Amino acid sequence: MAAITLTNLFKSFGPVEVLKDINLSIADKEFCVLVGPSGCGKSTLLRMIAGLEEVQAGTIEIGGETVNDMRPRDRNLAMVFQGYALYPHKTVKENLSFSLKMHKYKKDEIETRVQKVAETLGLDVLLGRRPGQLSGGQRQRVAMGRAMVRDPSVFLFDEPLSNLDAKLRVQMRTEIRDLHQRIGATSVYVTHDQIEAMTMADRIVIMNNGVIEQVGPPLELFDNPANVFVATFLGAPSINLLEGKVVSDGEKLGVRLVDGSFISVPDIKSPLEDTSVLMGVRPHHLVVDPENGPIQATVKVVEPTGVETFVFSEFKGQEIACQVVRQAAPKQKDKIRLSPTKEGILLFDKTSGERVI
Amino acid sequence: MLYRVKKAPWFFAALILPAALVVGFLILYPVINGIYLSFTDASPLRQGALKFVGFENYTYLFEEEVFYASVFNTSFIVFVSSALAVIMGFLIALLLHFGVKRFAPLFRALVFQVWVVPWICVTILWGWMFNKEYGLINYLMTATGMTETNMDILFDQTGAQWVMIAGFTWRSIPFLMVIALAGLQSISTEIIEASELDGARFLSRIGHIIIPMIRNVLMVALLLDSVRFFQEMTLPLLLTQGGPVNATMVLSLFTYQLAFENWDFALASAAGTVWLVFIIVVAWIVLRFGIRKEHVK
Amino acid sequence: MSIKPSSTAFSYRKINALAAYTIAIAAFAFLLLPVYWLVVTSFKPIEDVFVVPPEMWPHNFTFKNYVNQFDLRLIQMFQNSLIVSGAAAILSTFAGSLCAYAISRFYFRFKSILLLFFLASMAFPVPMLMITMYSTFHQLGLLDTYWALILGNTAMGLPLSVWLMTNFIDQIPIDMEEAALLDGASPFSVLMHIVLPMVRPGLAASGIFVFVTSWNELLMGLTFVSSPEVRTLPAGITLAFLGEFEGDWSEMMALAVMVTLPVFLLFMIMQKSILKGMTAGALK
Repeated sequence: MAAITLTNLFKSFGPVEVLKDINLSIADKEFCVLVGPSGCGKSTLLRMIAGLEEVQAGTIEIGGETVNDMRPRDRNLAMVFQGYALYPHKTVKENLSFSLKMHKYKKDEIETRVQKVAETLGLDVLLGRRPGQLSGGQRQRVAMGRAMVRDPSVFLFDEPLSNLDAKLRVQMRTEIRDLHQRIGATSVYVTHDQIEAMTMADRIVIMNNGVIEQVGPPLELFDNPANVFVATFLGAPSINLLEGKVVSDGEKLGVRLVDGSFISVPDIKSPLEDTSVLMGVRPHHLVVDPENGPIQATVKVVEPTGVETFVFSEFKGQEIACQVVRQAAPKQKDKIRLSPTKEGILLFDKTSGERVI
Repeated sequence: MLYRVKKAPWFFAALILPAALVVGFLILYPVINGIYLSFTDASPLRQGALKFVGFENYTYLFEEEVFYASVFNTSFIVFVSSALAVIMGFLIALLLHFGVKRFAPLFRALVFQVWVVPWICVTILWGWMFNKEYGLINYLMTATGMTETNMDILFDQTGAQWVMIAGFTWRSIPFLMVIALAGLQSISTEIIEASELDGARFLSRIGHIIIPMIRNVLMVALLLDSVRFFQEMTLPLLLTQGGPVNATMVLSLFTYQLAFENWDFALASAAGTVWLVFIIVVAWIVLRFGIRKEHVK
Repeated sequence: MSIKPSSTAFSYRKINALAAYTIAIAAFAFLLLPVYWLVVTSFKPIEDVFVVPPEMWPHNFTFKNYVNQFDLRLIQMFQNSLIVSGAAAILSTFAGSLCAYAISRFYFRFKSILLLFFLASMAFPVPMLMITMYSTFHQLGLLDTYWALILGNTAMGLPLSVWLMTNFIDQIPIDMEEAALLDGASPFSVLMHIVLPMVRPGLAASGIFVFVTSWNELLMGLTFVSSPEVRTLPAGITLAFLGEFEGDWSEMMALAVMVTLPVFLLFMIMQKSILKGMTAGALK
């Protein structure tokens, strides 16, 4: 059993508070991704779980045991570092066997494990080489192999793919995911890339400025963001945010945008009337409606990606994005009228950023 | 590469000329000339043509007890000093890097002042500290009960050698410490953390990870320092004049005395040539077996 | 929700820090004690020097030793050392930088051999080199003049200057020089106006190294020069120590401190460049 529980975690570096009251439960065998912008505290959190950073307040439990006082090597976890941290003077084989040697495994045991891991990752031909002679992708695999060889109950990943080129990154994403299915250990994965988070996680933990904004499966966070930050962080191109006010058009409540147009929104409760809101609509929820589209914009840039085409247009000084099929792509400087789909409207309170609808 | 010699030969020549002149006349020529002289009977006291005497000077040297003593003494003193200096320098660097991180620059600067003190002053000081009646060392030893009466350390054969070693080591530690510190700082923290997670205890980390990674740098520094020690003459010259009973007769002093006190240039050149060969052999051994070429970062 | 402060978690790290500080301070005491001792003794009157137990701090603080030793002879020697060391430092750095630029920016087959030779030349037995130098200087009538010492010290310092400057220049990207050449600058002005200003720390480091080495240099000072007018400090002190010395230790200490002071001050000012120079070369 290797569930991780974080309770009331605080951490400061000098006067700067880096983590504020973090509470999180990670289930056994779960692939949990910590994602957020630089400086949000995700790496610090990961390192605290590893034991590389001191816990100033709160508890960390792994497998039911409080590990605050345990040294990193006793916590039965393995970590893949951003720079891989391979020992440059040791061969691949020695790199893989080092931790087993340190834990005093028997020679033949080490031999078998290293062999198995090498085969799994396709490293068996490289065992005699040194890290300096390997490519980026190969080094990455050795770093993972080094973590796997000890059969730990928890895997920690600290932005392992950020040093790879785009194509390799896509490939490694699936490989890591695949490995996770096979090995089934609890994994905590830190990244700043929201695509990695979306594609790899069982659950995503979005962090910002030392607090957890939201936790949940990727699609749930995508469809039901708790606040503006989460909404803008996930999804590319990012969600469109339009300023407006909740008013009534006589019968129903809706949102009046800056250009005066009115968009009716189902399910608004009357206490919300007169509040300033930000209306969030994802690009694929913004459709071209030549007759009745309340949002009138001018096309600025058209980006074909091969399947869909993204259209960036200007609406009252703001840039909004929408998605069309490639055949229907407009041209630059065209005037288009857009309309949000009913399910695609998200309302956020303008001041607090919290989601209201 | 910016230039090719063929395309800008005058520029190249102009750049190299000053250095080439100095090195040519004052280093290269003297070495070659010295080797040549070792096969003659050269001496400034004797005017006239040089007579070629073959290996006579060398046979003389190899039968001379003082010569063997100086080679042995020099090797012993230099080896021990270098070893001590590298070990202590490394340990202090470890201390600074992992224990006292914040003040490392300050400590480093302070310690480095030691290097600035001229040898001549160290000599005077050493002479005083090891003085029989009033020296600090004697005082410490009797006060802490290590010995009962004052010892004339400089008058004792082994004692005198250790005084030399103390001087050399003392002078060298800052240098090696700075090198070791730089080496330690070049090891990324990630690697240390990775080894911690891999289960390595403190000593294992040092032995398995740190030392292999900075070993080359230390070896080179060690070699450079040893070579420097071989040249060092001030301490033995002033304190013991090579005594007692040739215990601190080092090769440099020996050669110098032959050349400029006995004015026997030929014999001195022979001694110098042996010294040169000796150094080359030692350097070759250290580089061959001490440095790992396959270390790629 | 109570916030429980994490307990003795990293206390093992705190203990280590304490031990580390203790040992560090002990080590530094060991290293700096002799220097401290030197300075302190120089301020003691001669009688107090022989006191048992030796005083850690002069009870009768006095400048007498300094005054006694500070005479025309000393000033002359100071001057001589200054001239010799300064000239050697300048010449060595100048010739060394030029040569280093050639080594760094020119392609030629025996480049690594050349560098190795420079390094190795520092290992050549100095007495042996001095033999031929002596003959040469004698023939040129340079014995007992500044030039003998200046040339000798320049020769001793040049390999180091070359090595140091090559390392520094190697670290500067070629782009700027290429751009300047394309703009029509002559190679010489590229060196003078673009490269050299950028390696100022290296120039400083080289200058200091050679200066300090020359300042401390004893052998050539004793051998190439015999008249007191041209004598350098180390030689002067040696002769005093071996000759007229009658146990006036505290005066010798004062002398020693005065000899150290200039280099010490120089060093304090230029510290950063020096350390950078030493480590840049070593880590290669």
